[in-house]
Amino acid sequence: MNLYMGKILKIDLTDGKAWTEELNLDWAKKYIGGKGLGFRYLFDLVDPKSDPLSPSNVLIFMTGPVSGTILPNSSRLSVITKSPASRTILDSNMGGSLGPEIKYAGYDGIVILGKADHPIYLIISDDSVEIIDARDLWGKGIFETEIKIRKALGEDCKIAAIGPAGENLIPFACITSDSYRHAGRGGAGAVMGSKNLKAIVVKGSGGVRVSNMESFLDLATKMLSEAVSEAGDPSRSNLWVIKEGTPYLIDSVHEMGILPTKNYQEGQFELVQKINSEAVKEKKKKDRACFSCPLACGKFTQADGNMVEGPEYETLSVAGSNCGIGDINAIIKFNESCDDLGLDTISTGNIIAFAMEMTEKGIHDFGITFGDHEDYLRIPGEIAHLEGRGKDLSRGVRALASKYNGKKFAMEVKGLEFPGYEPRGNYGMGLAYATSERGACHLRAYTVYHPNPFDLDAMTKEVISHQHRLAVKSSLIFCFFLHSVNVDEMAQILNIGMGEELYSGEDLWKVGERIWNLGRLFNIKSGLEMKDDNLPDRVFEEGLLNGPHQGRTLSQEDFSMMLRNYYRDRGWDIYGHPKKEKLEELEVDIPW
Amino acid sequence: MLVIDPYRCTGCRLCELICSATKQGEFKPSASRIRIVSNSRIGLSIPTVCLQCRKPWCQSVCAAEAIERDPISGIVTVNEEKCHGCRQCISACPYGNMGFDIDRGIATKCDLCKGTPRCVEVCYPNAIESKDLHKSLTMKSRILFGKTVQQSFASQKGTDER
Repeated sequence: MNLYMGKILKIDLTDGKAWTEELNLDWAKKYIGGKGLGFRYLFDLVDPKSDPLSPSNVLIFMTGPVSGTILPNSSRLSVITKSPASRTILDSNMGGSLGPEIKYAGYDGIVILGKADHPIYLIISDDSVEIIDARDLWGKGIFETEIKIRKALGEDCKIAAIGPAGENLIPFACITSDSYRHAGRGGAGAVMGSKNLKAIVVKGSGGVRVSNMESFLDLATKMLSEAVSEAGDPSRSNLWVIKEGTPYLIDSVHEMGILPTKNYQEGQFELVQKINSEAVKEKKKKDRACFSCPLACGKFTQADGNMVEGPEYETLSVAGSNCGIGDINAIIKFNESCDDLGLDTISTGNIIAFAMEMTEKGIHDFGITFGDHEDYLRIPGEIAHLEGRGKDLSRGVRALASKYNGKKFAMEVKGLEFPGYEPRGNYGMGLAYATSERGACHLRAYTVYHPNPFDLDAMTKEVISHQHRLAVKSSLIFCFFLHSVNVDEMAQILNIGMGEELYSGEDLWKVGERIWNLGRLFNIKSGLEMKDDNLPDRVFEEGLLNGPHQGRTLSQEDFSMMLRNYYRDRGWDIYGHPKKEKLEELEVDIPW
Repeated sequence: MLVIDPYRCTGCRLCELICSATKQGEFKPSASRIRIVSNSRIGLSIPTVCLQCRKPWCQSVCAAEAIERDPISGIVTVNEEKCHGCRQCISACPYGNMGFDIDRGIATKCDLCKGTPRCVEVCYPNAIESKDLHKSLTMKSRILFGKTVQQSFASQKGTDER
């Protein structure tokens, strides 16, 4: 088969059985791969109402048709499950080299069902699947787990592992590969922990085929050189990714006045120069790339004996400025520690910032205040090991806020903590957070650089169009950072690779909308309602304390207007339920 | 020959992909003639590829006389007609740079794409460069010299601060 491997590997941990199934070609046509195809498989296997940490939840690792090929930034692997953080459908994708390795082993996806009765890990080596006792690895950090497994099985195997955070079912635990590449958001690591699955090890000796190698290589090398080109349309440029990586965003977002600072009270950080791209560059040792990526956004840093691939923008902002931390060494150390424990740095940073504000306001004493480097560095370990205050903090901002009465400034949507952009200075990001299928997320729609961030109509349209395009991109799967790829090009890639005229750009647009509606259906069936498409009170009621948008809020009226128009433009009813006609038009094959 | 600077390698493995696509007709890193050995934790990736030895070990152990060295270009190749698939060359190469195509039962190695290596084309950080031997030696010694000078300055600076 071209581009696809044609097989799905299913492993039931309850009875220790593994088998392969033919890839459902009808679904592959309609949902492509990655996010879309993973959603379709999840719908088939999981009751939306089920408990995310029970054995009835499944964990799906889904590659896309372009994974494993030479196309730029095509290596990502999607992890799909029901989220323990938001109780919604969850798609969280990671870079590194595990996705391609799964295809080289002969599979488009791996589905993990049930629960092992003691800690285990899996070795998938082409056709062979082994279940290995992992009791000696349980409790170990991700770095040590990788070293131990590589020692036993060879340097070239690819690993997805969880740390103590995943084992302890913390709802913002990640799944990690290649030491620093995470399926970070939404707690997929906790689902893996709930199955007693410490790691998945993959070795593949096969290859990915395309219909006509010569024309495929022509297309790919053209895309590669365009991706790194300095010329051309600046809005499609990836240059900043190459030169500075995501730390570049710090100065720019600070200037816009939407850099989360001190638990989203302020939009600018007085110590911004201590955590910006220049600060990261001083500690940088190397550029690092995921498989098949010419951009190499990973900036490998070292400080005070700590080393990490990062910190990325999200860590620098949500776990930096947002915690009042203006010390790059502390952030590098924090980043390394979270990576080893298997904690999402966004949620962890957000929770710490919340605890800092609660303490400073005298609502509840967590013993930590803004800018307290030393104590800040102790918290990830306390959270991952459920020690002391870490036990409280490990439940996430939403649970913390309802326990200690801090709901007004608990910066989360659907239970997923806010990432690094302040919606009061960019209304589109507010709508993006409120309508993302997995809670507050910046990767479903990204209006940060839009010229009219307060134009309600423009923002609504922009959010919908991003959601469609990015749903397609996350299904092929291309990395978010390959800016220079649109639906027409994606259609062309699939057609050339498969050797058939399968899609037009318009078809893919429809695929994006179909995936978006499928995710929505899962969430509605899981019990989510219109009131869950909401933002915290701080956004509506409190003006930003500094910067160009000082005093600005996103009013409840403006937000409701955007949301109403969003539902309408999507062909959903006033409660945000997809209308029957819409689902028929999109050929969503789920009974409703 | 291919001159490699591991300090520049980002570990993207585009070289493995274009190599296997060119030589094997599919994207199959296990069949690539160039291989990237990585340690993600310390952020290190090292490309390894045939050094086109002047007196190749692979050639000296080959009973089928299937390994040939072009006297002018110095490129060492496997004559696929002659190769028996005994794999002695794989054991003999001290650098682990011989490969084996299981499907066809023959040894494989880098032949520098007959002079225009495709891996160089997709190596955007310029970790792999194609040089003729004489120039590359000069360049290698320059790089080494530069690095030594930098290091000695760095250590001196360290001493001063102390």
